[in-house]
Amino acid sequence: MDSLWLEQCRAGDSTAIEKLVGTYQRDVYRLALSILDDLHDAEDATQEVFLAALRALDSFHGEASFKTWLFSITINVSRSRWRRRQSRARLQGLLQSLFHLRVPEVLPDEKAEKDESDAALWRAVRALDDKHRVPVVLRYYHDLPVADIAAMLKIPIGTVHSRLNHARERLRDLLKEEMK
Amino acid sequence: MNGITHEQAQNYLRAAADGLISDEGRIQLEAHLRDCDSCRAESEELGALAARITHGFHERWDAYDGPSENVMATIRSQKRRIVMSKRIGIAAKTFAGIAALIALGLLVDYLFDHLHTTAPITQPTYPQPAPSIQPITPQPVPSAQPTPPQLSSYLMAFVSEKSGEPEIYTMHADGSDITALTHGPAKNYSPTWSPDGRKLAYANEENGKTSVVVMNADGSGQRRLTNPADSYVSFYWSPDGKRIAYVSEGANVDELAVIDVDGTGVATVLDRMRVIGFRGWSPDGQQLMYSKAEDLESGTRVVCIINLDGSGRQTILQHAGEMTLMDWEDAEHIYVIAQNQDLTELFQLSAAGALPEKIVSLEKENIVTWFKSPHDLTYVTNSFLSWTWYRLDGNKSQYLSTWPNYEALCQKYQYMLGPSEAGNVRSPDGLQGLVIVGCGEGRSPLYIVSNDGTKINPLFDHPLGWVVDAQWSPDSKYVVITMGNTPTSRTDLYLVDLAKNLQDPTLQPIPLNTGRMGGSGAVWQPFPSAETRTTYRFGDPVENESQALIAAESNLRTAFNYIETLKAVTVEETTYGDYSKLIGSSSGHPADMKTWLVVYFNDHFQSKAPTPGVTPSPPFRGCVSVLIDSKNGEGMEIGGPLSAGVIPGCDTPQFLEQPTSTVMPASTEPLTIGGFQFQICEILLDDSVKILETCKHKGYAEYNGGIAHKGGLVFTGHGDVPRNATGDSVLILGISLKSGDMQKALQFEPKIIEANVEKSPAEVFTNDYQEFYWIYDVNKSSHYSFLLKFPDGTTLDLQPLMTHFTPPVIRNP
Repeated sequence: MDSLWLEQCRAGDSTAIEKLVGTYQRDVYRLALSILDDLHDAEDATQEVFLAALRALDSFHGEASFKTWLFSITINVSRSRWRRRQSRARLQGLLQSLFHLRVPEVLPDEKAEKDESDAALWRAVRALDDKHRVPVVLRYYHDLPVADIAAMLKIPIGTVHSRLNHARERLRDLLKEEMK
Repeated sequence: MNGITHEQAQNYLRAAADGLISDEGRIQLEAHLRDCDSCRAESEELGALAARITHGFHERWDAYDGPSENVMATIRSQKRRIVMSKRIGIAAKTFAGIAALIALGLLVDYLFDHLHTTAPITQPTYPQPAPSIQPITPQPVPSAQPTPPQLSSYLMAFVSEKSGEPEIYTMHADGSDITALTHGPAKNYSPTWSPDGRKLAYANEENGKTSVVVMNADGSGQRRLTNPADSYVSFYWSPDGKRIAYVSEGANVDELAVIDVDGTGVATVLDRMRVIGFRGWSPDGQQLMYSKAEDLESGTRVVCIINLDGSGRQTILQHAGEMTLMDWEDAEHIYVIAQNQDLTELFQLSAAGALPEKIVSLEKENIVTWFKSPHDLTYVTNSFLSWTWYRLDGNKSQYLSTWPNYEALCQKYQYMLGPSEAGNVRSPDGLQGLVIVGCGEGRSPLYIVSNDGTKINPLFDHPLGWVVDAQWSPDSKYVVITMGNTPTSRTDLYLVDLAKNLQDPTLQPIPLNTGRMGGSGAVWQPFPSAETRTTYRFGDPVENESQALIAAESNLRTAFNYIETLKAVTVEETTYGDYSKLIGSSSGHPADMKTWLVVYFNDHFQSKAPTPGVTPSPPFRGCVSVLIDSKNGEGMEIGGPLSAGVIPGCDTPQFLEQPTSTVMPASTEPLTIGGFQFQICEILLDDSVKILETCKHKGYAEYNGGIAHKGGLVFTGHGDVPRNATGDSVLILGISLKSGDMQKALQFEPKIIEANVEKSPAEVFTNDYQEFYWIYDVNKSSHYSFLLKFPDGTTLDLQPLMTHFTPPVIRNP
């Protein structure tokens, strides 16, 4: 993304902003989806990311690439949505157990799982905490180099490496347990 | 020289999986794989796992190509508002700029008037790279900072039957200096510290009669305070430590009395009745609370308070059931949990005599406990094998969180008894509780829960022990455990360092006197003054500077070992702009969020090992800084020094130990990065970042799979990192200045020359080892002259250095 274009966005140029969103919306959405694993949530997150980015554009000075910057925002937004969802799920679980409710709708995770060949993998991936799950998604789905992941998560390369190691060990163990 | 150890091969395998291995490393790894069946199998397994994950992810998400049109429409509709607010913002900034110019003009006038004689100030012209750590306001380092106590400075009293009868002993929290304070033939037990920690009161049982005795903390000056009673005596120190209130049990009636500790007066008997429970002094020391059976037939019990002279006795609650827990919360408020066959109820009672207020009444659930902090009352219920937390908001209970199906914790064992309170379940600050989960077969894992139930963490699960009692240290950092030993049926004392066991619940509690004498009923000596020490928190909202300090320290304790002498040298509230820079984020912090920067200096920092069994990097002396936000108190360790010279030693981190393994000699093997070969080389720089010497010392050492620099500029690289479709590679230059002055490092941005064009680094990052890295994208097909340019204009031709190699080693964080 060239700097003139960003300058126009900063100044509030509508065409430039439209172009910015158009250019990156697919990547941002994919990233949000892979962290949140929920279509609806990913859509909301995408919206939130662009609105946050447009507001904060003044403070982007080109230290990192624009895409890295935008992806950092996406990761932060998605993570906090993920946490909110976890607490909602806990509450829902409690209400169900208290009132012996059966929820008729199939949860998105389960639905996807049924359509999928590798359900065991999904259970294992979901068992990771987001500290370990997010680097795995960035590495294995988005195919990002460790240095980029480090920049996005604002942690040293070595930490990314050790989190990936830990996640692989854990996934391997969980998948082995499934085999038994 | 090509052979690598099996262990190195394992590291290389993992490095390769993350694209962090050099060509040379890869060659060595491949050579090793040819000879090592198990490594090959592991390599294949890793590959298969990666393929499976990648395939799974693509299968799941690839079908969804982008957000719906709605998203675009919403952004479009919101865009107008953003554009408008930006324009207003620009106008405001312009105005602020004009105001600043006027102020500057005034300042210049002032300076000219007052400072003609001052020599012109020369400004260094180094560019200011970002992100940079902002200088903080200089603060002198107090020379006599109080340091948190060492384990050996905590004292506890306990009971041991080593000599056959229970006797009172003291020892330090590290198990040292075990001292017998009483010496038979009587039974002596229930040691209780005076509020100032200087005296102990205890029960003395001789010839079947029990009385209360006081003594100094070293066992001297023993004096019997009360007349011998028939049996049980319970007693409490007054908040000012001058009196003791006690209930002595008689054959038909009990006596509630109060007596001066200095032995000058006689006991004042306040009431004679059959006491059920005695809860001691009101926090202001003016009243006593007890419960008694009003009518033994109907089972009606009452809670009473009484003034110290026996006047003003009033019944504040009457209830046909059992009072399972009652306590003062402040001089005016008392909470009582009362229970009968049908109901469990939580009452708030007023010491002023207002009608009891029933806060909660439950039919099928038990109320386990409550937590009271200055702004909050939360309580916990137990039902359906779950604990549930509620916050009391006016008269309404608001659901907070639940600990569902705790039975699952005990699945390994035959049966479960459910969680129960430890003796002193709530931490001194009321924000946490300890929970023993009784699992049968003598297993009782200990858990720690937060007052709102959002944090439930295991502390340990001892294979042979049964937790009987747990007591918080006065600063909430440690817990002393009385644990029954299942094989020997004896109790022993153990210490739990909460920070460490929270981090790793497989750590077992530290035996304090096991194998020597047994022990029980340990109580911590209060800190000599009413000093409030750090409390361990779980990311609570932070409201002020002192809470920020606490949260920062908690954060550090999760990241570092060996910070016993840790002290904060400065705490500073950061501004919006500082915050953005400090965390390298451009989004700033929300308007309703505050942040604090806390800088710690320590003689002995050591990062925790990232994985169990891996030795951490060598300890170092220096500073780390932590950014804490008010929203959730989450710490962000941003590491690094601050402005040079502000805090002595802060800008000069020193590794305290040299790496233990041998320093690698300058290798003769070439380092290949993106088709180029390098020699490892160190450049010594002076404080103005001028080159002093090049390549004199090759201090590049291996340390347990990590690397440690002695200073200077080194080349390192994780070659052949695929960065884009064209097969570009990445070159990483690292710097660690001899002087440790990282402000200087920040001013220093080397450039390489690619096809006669200066090339700036693609990325810059720093780590908590005071090292800076510049990452360059290098293209295999380009021509590089690799001339390094320094800010002072010095250049260094790297070409002659690019002939030799030391394999890059992946640093563990």
